[in-house]
Amino acid sequence: MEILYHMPIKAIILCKLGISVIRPVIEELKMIPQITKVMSLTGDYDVLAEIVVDTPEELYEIFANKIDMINGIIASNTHMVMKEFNK
Amino acid sequence: MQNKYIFNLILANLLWSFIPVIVEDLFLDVSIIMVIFLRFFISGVVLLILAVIFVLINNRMTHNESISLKFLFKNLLHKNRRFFDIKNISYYLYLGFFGIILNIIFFFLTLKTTSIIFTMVGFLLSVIFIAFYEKGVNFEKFDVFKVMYIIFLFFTIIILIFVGSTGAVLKGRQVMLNGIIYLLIFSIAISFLYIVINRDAYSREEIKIINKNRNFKIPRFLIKMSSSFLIGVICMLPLSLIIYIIPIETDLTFEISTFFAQFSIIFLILGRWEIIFLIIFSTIIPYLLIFIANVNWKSENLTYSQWSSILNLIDPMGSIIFSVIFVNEYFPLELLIIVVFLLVFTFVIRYSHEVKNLVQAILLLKLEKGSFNRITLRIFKYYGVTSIYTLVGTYDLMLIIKTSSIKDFYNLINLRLKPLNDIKDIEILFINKNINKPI
Repeated sequence: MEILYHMPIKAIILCKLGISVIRPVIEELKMIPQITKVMSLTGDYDVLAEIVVDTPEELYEIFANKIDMINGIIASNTHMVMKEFNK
Repeated sequence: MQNKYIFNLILANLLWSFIPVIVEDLFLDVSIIMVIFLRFFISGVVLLILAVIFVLINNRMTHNESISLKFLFKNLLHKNRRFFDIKNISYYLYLGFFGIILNIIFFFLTLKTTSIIFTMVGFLLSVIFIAFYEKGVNFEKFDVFKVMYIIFLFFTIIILIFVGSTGAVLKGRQVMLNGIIYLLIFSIAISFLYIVINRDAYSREEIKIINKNRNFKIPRFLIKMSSSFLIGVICMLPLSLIIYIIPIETDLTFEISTFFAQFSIIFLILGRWEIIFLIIFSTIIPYLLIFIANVNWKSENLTYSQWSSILNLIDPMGSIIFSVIFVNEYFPLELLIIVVFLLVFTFVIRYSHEVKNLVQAILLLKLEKGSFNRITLRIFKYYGVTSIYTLVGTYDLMLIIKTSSIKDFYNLINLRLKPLNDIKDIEILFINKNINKPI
């Protein structure tokens, strides 16, 4: 059946990085077109990336082939966004 | 430019800065009270009509979630958490009468009894008053930027007092004690306006509607300002009558008696181009510009209220320049260049101060089972919480936080979030750098 309507999937990827890799990691994340927002953080996680994709398969493809391949990311924690509230 | 709606604020302030030039000749034969009555009564009615038209268009011609007019007006009776828990209608009364009407009465009285340049001292004094208020009430630290911009403002004020007093003498007016008192009351009233105008809080029901239809904010703002204008004007009338009856001769008594005398030719006065300009270009359009900016504000850096307070300096700067150009106010060129330079520098320093103190963070929350629906909207009401993402994963909620100082951030975490039993764990991540890409 043809899909006539779909909602984009938004996910938040929290990354822990190695030492002295923050700039190249942010640059590589920025190169991925589906990543809409990148934040450099202080705390348990070093970088947050917001990703918007059309299908779960696309999310898997980007994560497996692009994000997971970036040198410097030593651990990541992905959350799917169910709903967003903005003021 | 990071946020195109900054231009709305600049344009609104530039339109406001024309007011002293416009009213200069008007005050020769029209009472100050009459100008204020016509300006705010008609603007209040027009803004109210615009709110109703906007709601009707939204409900009939767009596919957006419908907005209930009844709900909008019922909001007048809701309590305002950010302003002593009083009802919104009382909050609009304080805002309208003390913040707007009183401020404009004494602004116009200062203009009429002294000079435009001397009156501009009031705006700069209010910036200093607000800085001390923030130090006293919010415990905001006086960092090097804040001390510098207060010093710069202080020097600007000295120059303006000197030039303004000389200019007043050249116009045949002396800066007397009454002019100084009017200036001080005007400064205090405008400081009150700047402090109170953004002390507005959405109720839980309003937040639900805003998330379904962002346009709800527009009629909400329009009704807020129209109510403030109309309630302010309505309060002004009986008070004018009381002052009129009291047998003490003041400038205000003269203006009030002229106002009552001119009531029979009110439509003639309404037809004057200065009054029409004041209503359309100095009230309705600037307020519409700031409503649009406020509703669509998407800055990754400073918040709307921070930019709004920084750009307030454009108003006195514009008035000084326009008064020199259009009504030949006395201002030696070399001193004018120094004042413009000092004000631009103050503007840059204020911006640096706000950016330096801005706290941006992400909070990741783990919630107790069964508390999801209950807590999300409750947290969303808190000052500083700009967005909430409900998540599937290790954490249940992600909050984007933006506060103007570390003190506000501390209050949010320790006084608002930590006491909530439904929150099991809070992970705080401060944002160093924020990179946004268009989708």
